[in-house]
Amino acid sequence: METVSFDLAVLGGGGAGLRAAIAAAESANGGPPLSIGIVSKVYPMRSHTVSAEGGAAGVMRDDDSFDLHAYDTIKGSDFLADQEAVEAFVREAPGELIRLEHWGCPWSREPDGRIAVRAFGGMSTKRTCFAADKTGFFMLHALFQTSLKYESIRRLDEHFATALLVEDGRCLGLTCIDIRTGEMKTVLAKAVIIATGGAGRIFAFTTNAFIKSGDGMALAYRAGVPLKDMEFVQYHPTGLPGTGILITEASRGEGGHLVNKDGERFLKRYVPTKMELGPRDMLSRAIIQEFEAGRGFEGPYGEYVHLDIRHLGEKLIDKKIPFVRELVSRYVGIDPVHEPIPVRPVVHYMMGGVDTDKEGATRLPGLFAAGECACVSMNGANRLGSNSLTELLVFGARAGRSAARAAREAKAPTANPVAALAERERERVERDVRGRTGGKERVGTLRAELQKVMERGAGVYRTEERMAGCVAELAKLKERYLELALDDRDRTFNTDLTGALELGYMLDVAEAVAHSARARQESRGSHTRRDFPDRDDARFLKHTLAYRAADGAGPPRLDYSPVSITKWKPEERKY
Amino acid sequence: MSAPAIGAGSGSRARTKTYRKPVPANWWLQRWPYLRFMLREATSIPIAAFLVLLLLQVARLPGAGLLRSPLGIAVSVLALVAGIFHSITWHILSAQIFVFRLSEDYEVPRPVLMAVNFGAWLVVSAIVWGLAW
Amino acid sequence: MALGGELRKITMRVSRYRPEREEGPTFQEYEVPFRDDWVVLDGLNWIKDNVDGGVTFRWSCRMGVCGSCGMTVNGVPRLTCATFLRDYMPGPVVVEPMANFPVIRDLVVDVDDFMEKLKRVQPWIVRKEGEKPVSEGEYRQSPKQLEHFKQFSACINCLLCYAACPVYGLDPEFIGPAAIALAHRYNMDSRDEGRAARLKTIGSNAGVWKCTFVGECSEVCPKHVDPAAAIQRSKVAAVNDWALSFILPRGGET
Repeated sequence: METVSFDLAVLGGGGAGLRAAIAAAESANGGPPLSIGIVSKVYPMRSHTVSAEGGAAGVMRDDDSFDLHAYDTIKGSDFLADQEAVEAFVREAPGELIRLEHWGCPWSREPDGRIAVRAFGGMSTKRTCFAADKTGFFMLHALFQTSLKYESIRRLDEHFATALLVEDGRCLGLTCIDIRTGEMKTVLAKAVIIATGGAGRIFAFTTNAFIKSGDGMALAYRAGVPLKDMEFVQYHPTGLPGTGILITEASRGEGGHLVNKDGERFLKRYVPTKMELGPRDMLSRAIIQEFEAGRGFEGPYGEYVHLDIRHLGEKLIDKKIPFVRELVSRYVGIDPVHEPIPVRPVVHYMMGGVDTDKEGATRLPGLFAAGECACVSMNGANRLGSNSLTELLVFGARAGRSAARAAREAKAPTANPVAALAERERERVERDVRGRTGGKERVGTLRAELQKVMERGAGVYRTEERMAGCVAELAKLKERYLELALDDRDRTFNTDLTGALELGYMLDVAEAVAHSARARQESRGSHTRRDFPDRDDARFLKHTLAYRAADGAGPPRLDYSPVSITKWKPEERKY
Repeated sequence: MSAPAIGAGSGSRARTKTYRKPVPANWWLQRWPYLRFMLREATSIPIAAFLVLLLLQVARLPGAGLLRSPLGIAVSVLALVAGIFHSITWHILSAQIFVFRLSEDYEVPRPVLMAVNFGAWLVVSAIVWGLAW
Repeated sequence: MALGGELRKITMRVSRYRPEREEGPTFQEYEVPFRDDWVVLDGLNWIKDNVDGGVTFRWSCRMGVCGSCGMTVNGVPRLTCATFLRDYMPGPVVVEPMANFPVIRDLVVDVDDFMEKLKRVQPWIVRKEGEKPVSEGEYRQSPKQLEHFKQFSACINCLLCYAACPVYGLDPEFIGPAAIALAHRYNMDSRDEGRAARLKTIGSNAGVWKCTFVGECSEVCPKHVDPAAAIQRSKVAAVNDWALSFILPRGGET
């Protein structure tokens, strides 16, 4: 088996991964450079960061303050965010946004040439930087193109990770399949950063790209690292029915209205102060409640409400949110300049993920994580829009720097123990996945069933009955997964195989979500239960930690960890 | 165990057997936009024909005149030099664009194409010169 | 509204190529059920999930921004996530890999040539004195200055322009539309100072001078980047710089 060595390996080539790699490359500071390898199952410009639209928040104006941004974030998180981490985040945010501007990101500008800011959900003041309404796209391409500058950054494009290599309580690298040849490779590294994004594809209706299958989360989970706060799945209020394509919050930031069947701006009954700029979890709940009261429109893909941007005018729409107009015209066949947009709540983001500290380090020495796949926790029980893109930069850079430090301090791994581990992994994939014959289950079928199960059991409103059912169904799906057989036996670019491996990751992540959700007997942020409708700080002001059962047999072991509270005491969350 | 040299930039790619669909010699007939492009380029032919006609007509004009004045000769020489330069660059470029595949395995090599271009150009020029004389 | 719609059927002829067993591509036909809002990609996924898990293609965002799903549909380079099956009725829809690239498998092509060319044009901000410290804030750029290069920065690297370019098809040395457009994007960015080096690369024999302005690259570009314009403008810029280099002693940089 081919072995490739780096000082530092980054798994995932999206915003966080690229920022981490660049930070690690720059940490050399004129001294001896580290060799950095970015391992990604897709070419970096295909990473899901590219779909983000709205913006990236930071304190950019004199009439704003770090404390205000921190408070907005912590209140938005329903007081589950670790305040120490949030304070560090808000302080580094402006610098990161400016640094990205230096690297060519085409931020939209004020007439005087400064980076412009706009209003966004849950933010007390205008602090969201944006690049038209394709902020993620411009950020990703700026990061990717800048990364090409560094000779010390090498990439393994279209390499699919299958396992982390852990020896003597340290992470020493990973095994991956070169998708093109089908051959497995060992990647040795003195430090590994996971930046593989979230797992929206475990649900049927999601804004997420196909590639968001929670690979890195599952890999860390399997390596014994707990997944934190997995029950918190953000439903974005405005997704297009059917496709789930995201209609950015910026359309509300620029003044759009949410309207029910009766033509009413119904949010006045739920978030009267903030209205359309309330936090996402509250808006999604409001919309579902409107459906349940019979005030939603009926459609072929379920009920929906209207997002009306007609009053903004064609000129503003074409200038500030042109991509919205393009998407709606193409995928719904209407022009939002003249007609309201049908929208409904859609799975968008996972607040939970690989448990890390605010330096991006996990409990496993040598393993780090950043971005959506990590949970610091910065977003707590609900994330504010435009904090995530900034999070990629701040925590991507932090993880890059701390992993670089760890890589410099660690001694080089010896080949022997790792070679055995890697060989066992190769055999596992060959025997248990690629080579299995006589199985009766297909990847596509099982995946669709998993997505339906999660849709039912882990929706906006959850009940004990539904979650118990979900947990049971998932256990059955995990058994059926062992009966999987592939249609495709070829080696070259076998996406049936990668699909099967992704499905395995999705099942692990779904299990963590379902069990964590069922155990949290309160409603907080985006986790809402009909049987426990109130927030219960006495019992549940803490993070859920899900540890995978040994060999994956049986439910995860759940534990809890405290929330860091510095300045802001939890209060009632009203907008 | 292999350690990649720092400076490799992007990842090395293992090769698998790939398939390269050959571009057919009539590629420009496959889609209207390509045919339209070729027609645009081919407009030079009727224009050239007209110019030849014009040259022949002018050659039959009696007496001296503007064309035989010092200015006229200077401009004509300049135009000739410019025309030759343009033709040379054209023949070089077109040899880069056009592909003549005589069989599955044989594609006319560029130097040969260029030689044919220049040869044809010289022949046609000789014919026009002869007609004008 | 174009959501949903009745269920209809269409034939999809999909190019298959399994290098371990075949010398070249063959076509396989599938009867695919679809609704009005189904795109070609939905059809391919239906085939993969229900008929043959071996059908292989790249895709990710399904909303026209990641650039993964470029293929040839009925002879035209298209993003399959933005191409509707209903527009091809009564069918068949012929789906082949993008032209002008080596085919790795089925509908997946080798794009490493572009990745190398992208790096070659130095698509990053170059500052002669190095990047200024973050504490000094952003480089000021007016909305008008942003407009100068905005269009060319919209490239999603889908490579449909390479598939449409007959020059690239006949001469793979050509740096190509997207790479040159990105070089132009940086050349036009008021914050950049790397124009001279970039013009050297794209003004070389493999660069803009191979373009004969067929113009199909701009026609097929799903993001209206207009790479043809970028290339022609770069030709002018290259000539200007070359001419100025005779008048001004140090390379004609402005």
